[in-house]
Amino acid sequence: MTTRPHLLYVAWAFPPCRAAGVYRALATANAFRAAGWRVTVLTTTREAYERYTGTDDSLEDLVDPEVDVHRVPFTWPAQETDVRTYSRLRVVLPPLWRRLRRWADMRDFPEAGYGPWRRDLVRAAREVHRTDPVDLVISTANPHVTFEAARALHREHGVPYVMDYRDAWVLDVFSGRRLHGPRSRQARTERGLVADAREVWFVNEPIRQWHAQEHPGAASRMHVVANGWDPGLTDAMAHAPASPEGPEPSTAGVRFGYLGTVTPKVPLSELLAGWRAAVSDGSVPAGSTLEIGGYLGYFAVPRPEMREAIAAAADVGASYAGPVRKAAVAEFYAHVDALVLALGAGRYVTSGKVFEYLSTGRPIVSVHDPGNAASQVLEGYPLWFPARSLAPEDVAAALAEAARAVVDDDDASRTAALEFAAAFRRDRQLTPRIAALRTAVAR
Amino acid sequence: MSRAVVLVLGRPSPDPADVAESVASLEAAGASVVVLTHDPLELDHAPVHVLGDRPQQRSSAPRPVRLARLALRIALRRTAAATLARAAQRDPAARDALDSAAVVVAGDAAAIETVWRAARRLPASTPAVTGVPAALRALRDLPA
Repeated sequence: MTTRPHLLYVAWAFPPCRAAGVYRALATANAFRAAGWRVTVLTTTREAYERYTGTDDSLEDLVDPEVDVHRVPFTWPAQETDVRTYSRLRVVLPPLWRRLRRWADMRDFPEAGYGPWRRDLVRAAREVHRTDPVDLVISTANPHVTFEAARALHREHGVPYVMDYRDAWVLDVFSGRRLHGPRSRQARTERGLVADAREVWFVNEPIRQWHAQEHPGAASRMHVVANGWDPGLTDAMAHAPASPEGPEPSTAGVRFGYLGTVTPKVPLSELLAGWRAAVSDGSVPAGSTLEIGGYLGYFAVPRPEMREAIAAAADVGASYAGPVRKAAVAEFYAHVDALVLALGAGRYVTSGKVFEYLSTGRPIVSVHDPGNAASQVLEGYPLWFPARSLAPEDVAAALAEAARAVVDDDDASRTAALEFAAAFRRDRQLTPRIAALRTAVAR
Repeated sequence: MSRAVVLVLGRPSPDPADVAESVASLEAAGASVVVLTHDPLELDHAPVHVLGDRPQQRSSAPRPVRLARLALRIALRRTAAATLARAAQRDPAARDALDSAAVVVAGDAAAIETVWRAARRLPASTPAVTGVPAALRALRDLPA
């Protein structure tokens, strides 16, 4: 091995993909590069992202220029929307076509949609290793087929590998139930992969614990690598100009903000009911506002019922700012006084937003089930105001406490909040693992 | 350039709220929308063209053989989809709408055959897609 170890990083979603997992992938590749590793990324093509997920070109500029990116073509027939490409069988008997397609998908690897990528991916990994021997592979799921590139180099050349789960494979992180039974092909494949892995990473402790019980022999090799927040965000906030995409500065009242995709799991109506109660009974100062930024639903066009719900609360100062570009996120945060974290239920679910919120040092109002994994992250944050329940009076009480914290503007609390948040910087999540792996591959 | 979109629905009793959301999305992208469907549907904005009656489905399939039930279900779906496709070809107004569309979109799986058949006689430059998100992308990519 040279003094600069060679990391092969395998991730389906990598810039310019705009899927949620791309930030973790980007940060991991850059962090290893910054720590002195040579980094080769195996991912898929821009065309695949354009067809299936959408792209954010600005993300490509954030990839360290010394990271070598190899792109492996990927097709996803079940997601094809051009009807002209459909076979007669697909048109005439769609259920039969779907069954046959699923069988074909799962033949090489038990993951619908992605299984057929295994051969090309493994071939590409072998080629990378042939031209420049790899010291460590990190594969990031989902999709889980990326683990196969790691396993191939491990079996054939003894290269150690890390499995980085963003969510989970056999566990449904929303319901807490199993997605695949213990004797399923997925569970058996996972057991084999985990048994040989040097490390297995998870985004939060509840998911790690579940897997430690599932694979007790590998528990000591399982680690939490939380998503964290990107240090560039706070710099951008410090220099953020007044922005038309951020809430308007107000001279009276407290400006509350919510930023993130409002999925159907987000308790929007409960938040708005609590807000109305807080404004109506004077729990928050007169003139206070609640600005909601981000997509309403999964599509670019807002879901009408969500938009209408926010519009119906305009009389109490609620408004919708529309989607906020990645480049404008810091401006949004810079121009609110307090943040509202509204999340769906799930003890295994940690929103990436919770880390961004922490980085602001602002009061945070939690409007979610207390059992949500985000509560574990926020526990101990000095400006955290969790609603006891989603009932309007409890949401209003939490908003009132946060408003008082804003009005009091206690420097000591703000400083303590920023100190607390510093532990959740994304690079600090990765640093111990990078150091441990450097030692491991040097042996 | 025309931004007429024909949204074809094949599923039984489409939810008016869902359809309204799809239509609103397309209209927000600058499209004028015509809806083709089997079942009568009340929409505030877009014209709805009903293509004859849906074939009657039996309320229950023969019990003993699961495979037979599956085959029957597929056959009924197949009949409904084919009936819609044939009706769209025979109905002059529907045919005109499809022939002058800038984008043709299947709103559900049962409408795919209709769109697939229409696409065979439309210019190759006319996008024929499934799903509203794909239709929105197609609209975005249309020449100005």
